[in-house]
Amino acid sequence: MKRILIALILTVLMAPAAYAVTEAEDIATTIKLRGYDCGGRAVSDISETQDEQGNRTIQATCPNGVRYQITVSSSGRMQVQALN
Amino acid sequence: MLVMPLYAADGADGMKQDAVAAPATTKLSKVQVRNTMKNKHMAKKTLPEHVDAVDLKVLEQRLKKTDAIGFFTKLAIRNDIIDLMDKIKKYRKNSKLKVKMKEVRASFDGLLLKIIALLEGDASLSRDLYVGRESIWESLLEVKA
Repeated sequence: MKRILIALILTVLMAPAAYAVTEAEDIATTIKLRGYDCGGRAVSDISETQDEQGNRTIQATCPNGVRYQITVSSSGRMQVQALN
Repeated sequence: MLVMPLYAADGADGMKQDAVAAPATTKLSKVQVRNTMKNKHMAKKTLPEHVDAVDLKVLEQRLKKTDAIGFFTKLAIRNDIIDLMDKIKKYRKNSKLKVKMKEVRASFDGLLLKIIALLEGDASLSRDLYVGRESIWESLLEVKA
């Protein structure tokens, strides 16, 4: 029992803390998840707008130079499209 | 998960205790003891699955709260899960679920692998999702049309 407790404590102590992603990394991951090429882990030049219905539009540029637009509807539906 | 080695340890101890008690009994009861041990062993083998089923809500909350993936990625995953559930509902409605089971399972496995790969910054959640994959699959199939 004592050995099990020690093993449990060691497991908890040795577990690495969760790494928090930045918004730029988050957007790049989302673009890649939708099957688009991004060319890196993080985007740049992020702009965000929201209309009266609660629909959000995010634009960002990937390291490969392609600018993408992510549209999130008020119901949570998401669409990604390349702008250039 | 952490629970599994504990059950394994209990099982090993239980087997030893039964083996010590066996010589004092008759030949017929030896068989009974062996059967009991087999049943006990099988019951213990199924226990972690029940534990996983209980933990599903917790896993869902951990996935929502983890910092290893961001808001938009979580939203994209949520969309994928809803799409998969809609697919299951559609096949069930058309009585095609049994025929399309392999295809749906492949979609589920792909989605789960994607989530596990995304959770590289939260290894414990990633591992727990992998361990609980069968329970997650069963709960997905239980969703009513």
